[in-house]
Amino acid sequence: MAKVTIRLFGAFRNYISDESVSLEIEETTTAREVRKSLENYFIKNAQNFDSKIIEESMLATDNAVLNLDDKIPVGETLAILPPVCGG
Amino acid sequence: MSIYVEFSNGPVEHSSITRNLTNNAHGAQNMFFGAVRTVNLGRNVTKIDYDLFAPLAKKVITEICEESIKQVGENADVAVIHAYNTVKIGELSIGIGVSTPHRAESYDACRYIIEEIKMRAPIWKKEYYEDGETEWVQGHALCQHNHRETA
Repeated sequence: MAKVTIRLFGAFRNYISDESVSLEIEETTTAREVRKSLENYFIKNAQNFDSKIIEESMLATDNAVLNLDDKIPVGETLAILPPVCGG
Repeated sequence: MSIYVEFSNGPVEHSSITRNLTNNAHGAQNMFFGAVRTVNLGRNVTKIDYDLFAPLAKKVITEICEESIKQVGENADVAVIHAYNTVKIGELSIGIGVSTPHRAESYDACRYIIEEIKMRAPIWKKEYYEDGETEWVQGHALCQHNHRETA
């Protein structure tokens, strides 16, 4: 097992006051599986959590958005990115 | 060609864009500035807080600038500055400047950059309303390869 830290942005800040969440994952876990684990974390720890935001969000490293079937890069801090609206 | 991408803690200043466009071989400078307006979707807005994932946002915006320059024939300079944290009504949240030898290319590149930033850059905004409520603005879902083909 390995620990992965996921930084939170945008509407995820509505649910918990922390800047990031840490999860225990298998070292061969995919982005899809981590996203599901993150959904379970929010369902357990956040009030009125709407799973729709997870379905519309992608995991990313500092350099790239991850495909859902990508293996999670071990040791890197990730970010969960809800739908964007810059400008 | 040159590309300047930066983030501003608070509102963007007009001059921060113009001072990064210095190519005397370019006869056209096209600017776009986005400002926080008083009303959005019928609600009176008092300010916006911008949240961004800086390392990826810088990479994505730089890629967008590179695409825009490629589309207009390589001879272009681009400056983009986006705000983070609080921007009040009338203040600027984004500035984009493009210089090219002639005007048509600078219009095209500037338009491309703002449209793509709205779709692809990991940036979010939280609106504050007159009635005291707040809301994260609905946006566009990301995917890994969601940029337009430029070849």
